[in-house]
Amino acid sequence: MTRYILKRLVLMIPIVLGISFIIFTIISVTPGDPVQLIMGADADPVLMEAKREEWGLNDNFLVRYAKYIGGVVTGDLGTSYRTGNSVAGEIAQRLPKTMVIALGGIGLSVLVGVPLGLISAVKQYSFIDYFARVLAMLLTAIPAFWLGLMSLLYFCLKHRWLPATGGESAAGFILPVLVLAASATATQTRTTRSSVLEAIRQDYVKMARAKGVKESRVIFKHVLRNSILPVITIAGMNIGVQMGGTVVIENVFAISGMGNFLVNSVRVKDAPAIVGTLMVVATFIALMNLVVDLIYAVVDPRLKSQFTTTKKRIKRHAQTNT
Amino acid sequence: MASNGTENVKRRSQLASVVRRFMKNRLSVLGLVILLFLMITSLSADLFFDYNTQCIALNAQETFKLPGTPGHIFGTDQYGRDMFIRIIYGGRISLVVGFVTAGFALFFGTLIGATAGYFGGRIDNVLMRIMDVFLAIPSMLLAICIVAALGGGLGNLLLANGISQVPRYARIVRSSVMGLKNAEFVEASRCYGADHTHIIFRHIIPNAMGSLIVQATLTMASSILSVASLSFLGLGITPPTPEWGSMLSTGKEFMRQYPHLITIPGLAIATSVLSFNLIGDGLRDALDPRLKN
Repeated sequence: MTRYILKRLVLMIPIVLGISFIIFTIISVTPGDPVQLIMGADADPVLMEAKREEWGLNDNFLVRYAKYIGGVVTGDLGTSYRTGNSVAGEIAQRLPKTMVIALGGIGLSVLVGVPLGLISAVKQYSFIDYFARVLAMLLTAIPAFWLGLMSLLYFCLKHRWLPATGGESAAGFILPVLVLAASATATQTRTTRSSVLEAIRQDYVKMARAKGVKESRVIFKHVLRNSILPVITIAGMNIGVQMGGTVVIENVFAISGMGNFLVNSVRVKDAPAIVGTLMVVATFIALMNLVVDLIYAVVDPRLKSQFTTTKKRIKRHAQTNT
Repeated sequence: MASNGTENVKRRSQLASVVRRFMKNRLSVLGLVILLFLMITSLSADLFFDYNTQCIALNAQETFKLPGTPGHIFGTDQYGRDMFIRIIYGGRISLVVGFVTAGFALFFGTLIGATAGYFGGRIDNVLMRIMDVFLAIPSMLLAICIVAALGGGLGNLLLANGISQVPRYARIVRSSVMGLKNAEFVEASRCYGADHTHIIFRHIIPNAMGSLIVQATLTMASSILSVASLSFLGLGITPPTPEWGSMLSTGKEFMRQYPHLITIPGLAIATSVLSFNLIGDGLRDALDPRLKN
């Protein structure tokens, strides 16, 4: 198990490096000069040249990339052109808020989507099934920023139940999390429903019912247990979607998180800030995917074998045989 | 010649059965009707409206008219521009975005996925690891970076969205190519001396078409959402071009007094995305051989 986790952690390195290279290339080789974008078009050319020298923009872009990665290895994500502060510091300051929103959104979508999908499938064609399906359909179609604005209009500006600026207090996280969770809840509900429907038609369910197992036990032990894998997969895939969604949510609710930092950095082609943010996001997503894979093993005994090394497996095999 | 005849009959009946199954799904038909309505109105807009006189020529007396005002069913915005006409012209952009993005991703995804799956080995490894890197960045964030690098505007938005969708298609195509490249009908074709391109595009890809079409419909929906989101953030299509997301973004300032400035573009986005999603669901069921009756 430890070996597997270590292997996965090592495999993350090339992915994150690949991301940094691709993003760095996209930002660097395209036209647009960060010095001019930050200092304005009519800034003193001498000062601009000095800035260019200071940020190393006169070097070849491969040299710059090598220098940048050299820093990253030692934990230095560089200095943001725009704010002049260390990128690592800027991210550390903003990361918690974004994490609360993203993880809150994922958690809520699982807590609401899975039971709703389960009920919807067990009571197929009932009122609650139609309700869940229509709700899911609408929530996938409604853009998050629109839902955010409408809820802002209703809950904050009209009734003043909740603060309009998110992320300042605990109450300020309620709407951002709810709005972000909306579309993830929809996909979670739909996946759970179809997966449970598939399992419920299997022969072993018929068998369990035939031998008189209580219906609640049939549903939770036989059906849910067998239909949970796609449900977990979707939850894992939603993590990436949520990280993208926070950009819009933070903009709507004026939260100073990673998403807003990225959008502001992107406007002035602040390469260290952009690459740093995306590397952190990608690392987070990769870590969450690792957690998802570990949950698979806990939930599905068939998959547990992939975590044990071949040597152990042979040993265990030998033991059982003797 | 006789064999040719029966093949034609069989092919037509297969398409007909897919169409029949799709038509049975009332919600999907509703989606198709909405989409056709959107296409017809936005394509024929020039016949009924004159954008230059009705929207560009500012009218100070006509600002902030509420929906339902005679002459302006959806009201007017802060410059007195008719919201209805702007929504219809905005529909053009959204439809172009949907179809072009899906087409782009379909084309390059198929090319990469088929190459990787068919030739396997080192080519497969290199191509798919690159795809993995792209997949590890949330598509929204990748699109933001590409737009930032290239600048806003419709063409760059299409490119940004297209690129961020390519890996999904590459994966679908690769897995179906790998599953079929050693199938007997492929081997038979190879025995007749068919070259790789013929085998891939005539024998293997058609088998993956079902899931590709479904994925393409979903891509259309998600790229409309994504372009609207980017424009909303100010990174996509900028005012005064009538794009739904940027209309929302400018309407945001006045939303307390005039909520119709944000409700109407939002409803337009939601309706068009909903129509694509409904069609996609219907197609998935209609193309699923397991649900055949």
